[in-house]
Amino acid sequence: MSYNRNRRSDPLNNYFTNLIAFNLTAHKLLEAKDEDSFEIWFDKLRLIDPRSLFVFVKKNQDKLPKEHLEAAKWHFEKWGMIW
Amino acid sequence: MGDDMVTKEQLLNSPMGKALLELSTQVEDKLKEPITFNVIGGFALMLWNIRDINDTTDIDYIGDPLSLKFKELSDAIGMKHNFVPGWINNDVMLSGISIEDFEYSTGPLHFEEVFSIGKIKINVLSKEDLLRMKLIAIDTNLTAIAQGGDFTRKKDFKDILLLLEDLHLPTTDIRDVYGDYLLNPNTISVIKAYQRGGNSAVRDKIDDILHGRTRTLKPVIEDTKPSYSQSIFASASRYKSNTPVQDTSLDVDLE
Repeated sequence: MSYNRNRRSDPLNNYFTNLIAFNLTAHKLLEAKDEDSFEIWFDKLRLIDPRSLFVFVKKNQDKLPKEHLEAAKWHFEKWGMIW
Repeated sequence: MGDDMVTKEQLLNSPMGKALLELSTQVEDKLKEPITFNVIGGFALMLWNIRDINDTTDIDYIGDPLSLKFKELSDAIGMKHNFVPGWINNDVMLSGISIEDFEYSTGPLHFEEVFSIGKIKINVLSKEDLLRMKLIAIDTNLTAIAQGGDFTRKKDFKDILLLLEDLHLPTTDIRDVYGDYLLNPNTISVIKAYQRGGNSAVRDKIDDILHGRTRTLKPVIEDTKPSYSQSIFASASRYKSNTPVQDTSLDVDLE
């Protein structure tokens, strides 16, 4: 359900810890078999690091089914992130 | 253990089951008493065969925090199996609230014993309670987006429909059964939108709500309608007193 983002004192350490967590999970987004599964992993990655998620989706947009990409863009728009 | 649950063997063959097995082996000597996880969320849905075993992201449980030593061990084993730090967590119990406080907002929670993996005992939340928690999550998120923000609960709709089907409960009965826990007037209509047209219909519906294209009719007897904040407290006190109150709100799509 949730991911307790690392917020310990060292920002650089936090960044790398979250990056490792993100990279452990990100492939699941590309493997999502349908939009419901995509939403589960998209939300998990959002909790880890929304900025990395935006960059990851943009980088892998050609590998995502059209409807998954549309779903992601819908969320990014709500976050104020310009595609 | 219920017939419709995954078997212990099925779980142990999944990535999360393998991680749990390794964790149980590692803690076997260190734990004097068995550790019990009262699981909720995606892991509980997976145990009930509602959610795909490959779409389980972590183990959320209700209960006391893990010891630092256990947490360090579980994080290390989790990383080895490609799970993020905190893959076993009680984050849902924000700021150290008690189980009683938690149940104050969710209603009473009932757990069933599933099985043990070594000294790790797993109890799962009942399907009825899982459904109620999912409905509350959507209801809460819909209320939050009115103040700005994203709707992040799209992942719940498939689970809700599968739970409704499993419990033989039509969407038309949701308000009768769970109305005391639903404060947002759009909750059921958003679920119906998903039922009609999937995730794209939900996106359209949410955009309609955000742009004021969907409205809720006020009750016929205006004077008896409490304010929104009054509704929250009324709902909470209904739970405390266990007194059912007739829900007078009307949920109407202007499409």
